[in-house]
Amino acid sequence: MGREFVDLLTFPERGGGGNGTSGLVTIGTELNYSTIGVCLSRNQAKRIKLSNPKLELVPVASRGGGGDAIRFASGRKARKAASNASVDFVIPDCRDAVAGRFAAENDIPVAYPYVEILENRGVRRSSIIRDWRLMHRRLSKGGCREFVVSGARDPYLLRDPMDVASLAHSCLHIPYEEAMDWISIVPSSIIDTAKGRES
Amino acid sequence: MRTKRRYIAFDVIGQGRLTRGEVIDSLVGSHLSFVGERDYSVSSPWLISFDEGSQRGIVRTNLDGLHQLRASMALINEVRGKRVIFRTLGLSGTIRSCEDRFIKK
Repeated sequence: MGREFVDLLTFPERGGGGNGTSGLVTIGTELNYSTIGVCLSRNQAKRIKLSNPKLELVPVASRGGGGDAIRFASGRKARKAASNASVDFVIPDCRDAVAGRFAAENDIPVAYPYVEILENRGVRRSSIIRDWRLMHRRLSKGGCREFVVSGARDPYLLRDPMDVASLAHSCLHIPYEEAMDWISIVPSSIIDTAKGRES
Repeated sequence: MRTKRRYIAFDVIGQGRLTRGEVIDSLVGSHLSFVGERDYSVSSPWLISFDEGSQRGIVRTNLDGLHQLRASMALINEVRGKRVIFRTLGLSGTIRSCEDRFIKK
């Protein structure tokens, strides 16, 4: 049986243009994703049907909101969330070594959003890759779980899972098989943990 | 010793259709910007074919630079104002098997 690919964080309603979630489902299915995490406000979640025959959409919410959704914290909030283990995963500022240490101590997985690399070029892109590499070096010492998310605001920012694995392999010098785990096994385990909490 | 090569079959998903020239420009530009001139020679990408109707093509690369080229292709976001995704369909060791398995399907 093949791997099931998961992208745990997208923001389909932030991009504008009107075809956010439906476009995400179309392109996500074409790219062979089995599950995509969508970050929606409570009102948006009521309007959008999250079940789909080809692609499972799971609700993801930033810290403090979302009820049963998978919870995450990013940026400055990530440090506090990682220290008190109040979220399912964090996206810390890559230069925040303390947040990384808390995440490792409390076994909170850390996500790398590749949309930042896609949308930037030149010096900015190389800075992001350098920050990712420093973060990975710190986290791997502490045995922290890491994975890749898209963070896409529109469907055209999604990428084929195996191409994402190649990107992680090239940028972070991790083995390709490990990079494949970062888009399948690790995010799946986070979803399983969240589902276990609900029941 | 002969260099080991791989053939990457890909297709372009996007808002508009790309021409062969646009595909070459975007591939070369993205790969050069991502890996630089020295590592460009490691992968030495070469567009074997691109069908403008089906938007599918084959690009050749040296095995050592395979993942870097795939990553570079994934980083292509926009070509002349058109939003696009370069999706890898599969890899193969020969052009014929690449065409049989991924292009003529």
